[in-house]
Amino acid sequence: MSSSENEIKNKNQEDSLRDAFGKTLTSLGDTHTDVVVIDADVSKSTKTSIFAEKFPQRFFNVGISEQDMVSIGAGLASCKKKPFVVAFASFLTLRGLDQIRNMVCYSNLDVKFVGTHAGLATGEDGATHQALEDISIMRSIPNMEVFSPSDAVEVVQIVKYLVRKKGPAYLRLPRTLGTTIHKTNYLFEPYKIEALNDLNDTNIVIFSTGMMVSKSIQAIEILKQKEIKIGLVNVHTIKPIDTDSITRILSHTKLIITIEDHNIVGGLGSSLAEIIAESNFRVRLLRLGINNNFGESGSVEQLYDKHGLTPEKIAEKILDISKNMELLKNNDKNETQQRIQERRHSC
Amino acid sequence: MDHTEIVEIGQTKSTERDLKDDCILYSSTISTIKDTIAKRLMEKAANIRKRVVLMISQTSSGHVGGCFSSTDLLTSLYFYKMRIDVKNPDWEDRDRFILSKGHAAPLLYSILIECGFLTEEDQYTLRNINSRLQGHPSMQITPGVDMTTGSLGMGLSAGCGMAIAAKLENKSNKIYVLLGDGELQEGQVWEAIMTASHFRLNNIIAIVDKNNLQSDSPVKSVSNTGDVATQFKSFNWNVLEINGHNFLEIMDALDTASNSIIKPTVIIANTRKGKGVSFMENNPKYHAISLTEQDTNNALTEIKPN
Repeated sequence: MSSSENEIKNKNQEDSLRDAFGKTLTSLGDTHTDVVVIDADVSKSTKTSIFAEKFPQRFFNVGISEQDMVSIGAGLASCKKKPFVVAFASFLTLRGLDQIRNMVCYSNLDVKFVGTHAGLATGEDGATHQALEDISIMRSIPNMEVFSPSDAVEVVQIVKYLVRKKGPAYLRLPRTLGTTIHKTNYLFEPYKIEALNDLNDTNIVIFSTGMMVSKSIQAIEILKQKEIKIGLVNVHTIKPIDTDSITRILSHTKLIITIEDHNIVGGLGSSLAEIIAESNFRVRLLRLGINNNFGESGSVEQLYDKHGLTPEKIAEKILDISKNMELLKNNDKNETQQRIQERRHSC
Repeated sequence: MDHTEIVEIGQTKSTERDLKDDCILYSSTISTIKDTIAKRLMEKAANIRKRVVLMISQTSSGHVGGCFSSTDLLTSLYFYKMRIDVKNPDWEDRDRFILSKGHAAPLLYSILIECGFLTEEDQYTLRNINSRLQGHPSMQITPGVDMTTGSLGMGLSAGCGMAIAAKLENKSNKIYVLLGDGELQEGQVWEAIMTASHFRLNNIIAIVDKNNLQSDSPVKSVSNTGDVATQFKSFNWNVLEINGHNFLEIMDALDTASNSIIKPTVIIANTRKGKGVSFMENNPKYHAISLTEQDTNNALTEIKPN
């Protein structure tokens, strides 16, 4: 498990993750001449337009045809090219799923998928455009790796990694700007969780991903005012997930909260549920996200508010459940360990 | 007329002969050569049909009808036209072939055995567990398979990807994609048709095995939307229509297609499902079937160069 050596930076700097993606990929285009970018007529939105401008011969807008674009990627990869197939997350992972599964992943081809406009963070376009199940879908395909960055700095690192790595991968990006929480010299370690604070003096830990990481940071600040210590882990690699590190955390945890701009069915929360259920530890799980609903139109802030994904509402939910579980009396590890022993003996 | 005579003619100075006589002589020479090739291909195709029957008879079921309608086309492609290297299945400059109608896998496998990409040991392993011959072609598992298929409608798109890659590398290899006519119902095929046209992928040659039957019933009773040739033409493709069981026509079409400068080409091959075995021909029952011993024996007896 990697512990971030940087303090959590929660100032108001907001950057575009999409821009970070477009710019980074473009900057790598000179040295990685096998990179080819395919877009489905949304390149101004996905920011592949930046790559297109510098490398017009290696950029292909195939039009509004997600099925076609995925299979084109398969064909390119079979000829030693390194395609980045980019479109809105919802259409790419749903419309193009048969092709992603049966051509790319089944043959383990070197195709990278980038889905933008993921989550409620898509905003006013509404339900059809808000991908709320893309993590779940991509996670369930063998050979597919799933990356969900928390800020623009992380995007830069992930893109650099994806250009070097072989095999299918899915990168999930929001439409909105995101609060930058990492310093520019952040060391991204793929397949490892990132602890954003000291996990050792608490028995309540949040596991969050994407846009919800910065919300979690704010929620933790709110609870800190009430002298409640909550740990925070950034899960940027959802598949393959860092089971070993997470299991080590379970050993001294009573309550885990997962927070994602995604359906609580099948995404990060379900990943944690799988690990917890298969572990030796009895840990309570609270999954926060979109509660098996579709999205809708609204500003991003309004949507987050309606679905309980603001720092205040998150803090409130954590407070509630912690009280119910009687976790807050001392927020004390030793007492919790004793209780764990007692419960084990009474079972 | 043998090879030595041809060389001698070529070395004769043109002042000594009328050029027109030369052309007539050349073209009749070539047509004699092509006749010879056609005969060889016919024999090859018969062998391959036998392999297909044997392969399918050893396993639970197989799509024998759709294999037979494509046999003459694919035999010509592999043994007359395609630039491939059996010793180097991954040769970067090779022509590519995509079996978009992936259920005709037994046909592809039979050809790959006949070529030498696969061995006689593979002949009876179709659809067995741990086999190199999966129910539908898998590029990771089977040498000689250029693209994984099985879910219909995807092959032409993958072909576009390969065609684009070739152009990026300034390579002159061709990409051949075999589709079924029922398969044209998949919308993605038309996405790919648009892509190939728009990006001027003249190095793509699609072949439609138009046997007029699909799984449940005749194609026209499922989806009757006019003439396939007209549809392709309207998307700005070169269109050739041939008898898909006439080797001379197939060879000529492949040659014409490979000379296309801007447009992709489709060869619409009129075929008969189950061609080569009388009781299978045009018989929907043989779309996908488990071959009985009787069927197998009767088929093997009947199959001959034709």
